[in-house]
Amino acid sequence: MTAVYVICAILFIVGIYGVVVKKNLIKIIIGISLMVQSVAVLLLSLGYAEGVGEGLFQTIGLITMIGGLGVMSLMIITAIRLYEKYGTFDVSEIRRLRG
Amino acid sequence: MIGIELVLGAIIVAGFVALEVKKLRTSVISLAVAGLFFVIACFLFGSVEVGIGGIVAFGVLIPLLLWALKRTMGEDVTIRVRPAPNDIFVLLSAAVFMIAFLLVVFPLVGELSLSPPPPVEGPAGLSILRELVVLLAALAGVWAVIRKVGRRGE
Repeated sequence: MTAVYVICAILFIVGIYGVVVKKNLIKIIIGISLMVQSVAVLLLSLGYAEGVGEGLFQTIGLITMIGGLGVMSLMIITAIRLYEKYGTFDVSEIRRLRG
Repeated sequence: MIGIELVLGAIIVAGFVALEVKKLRTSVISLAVAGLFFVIACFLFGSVEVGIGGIVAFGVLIPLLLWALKRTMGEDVTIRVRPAPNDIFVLLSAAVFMIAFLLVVFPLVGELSLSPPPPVEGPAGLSILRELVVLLAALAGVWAVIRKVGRRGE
């Protein structure tokens, strides 16, 4: 299962790459979605490997998915509002135009 | 378990494509593909509930993203912007942290004494209440942000 853990870490780093390097708000939201997926898969793989407490890990994974969905839907709507206000998804441009 | 590793690798590839393509609609479709592989991974792990939760989550998220793109713009005009040195530093720091996490924390996980939670008493169907509360709260938040009445003029 070590390979699965490493793959989850790589997926998380890809998500961080999207959040840190990309300037487009939609890409940042996609990066956060990838991070949520990696955490959920990690929890499921832990439950699968340990055997004991599998239901516990599945419950936490499900809560992670649903909580991530709620957060991302709010982020998408906030991105739309920012676009209506500033006319761009570019976070550096939004930072420059604030106030 | 080779199959699960291939599926997880496909999630990484689809996610990377979603971040790198110029057209945002293609990015969203790549994210949907990543979600599909995520659901397959859940079923391979034997977690049917999480798989169904993933179907629901991506069934809401992808149309919401497509709707957002329909209301705004379709292309990522910042795709050619080179990352700043501090961005690369943050990325490398995150990578180092993840490697340290794998090497130090994960060996300790096996030593934890985890016990399964007690079975839920009461009528069946109440166990989805917490997810329903989260979804309704998210819907209320979305409505509060996009409503026109009661918002100050901008």
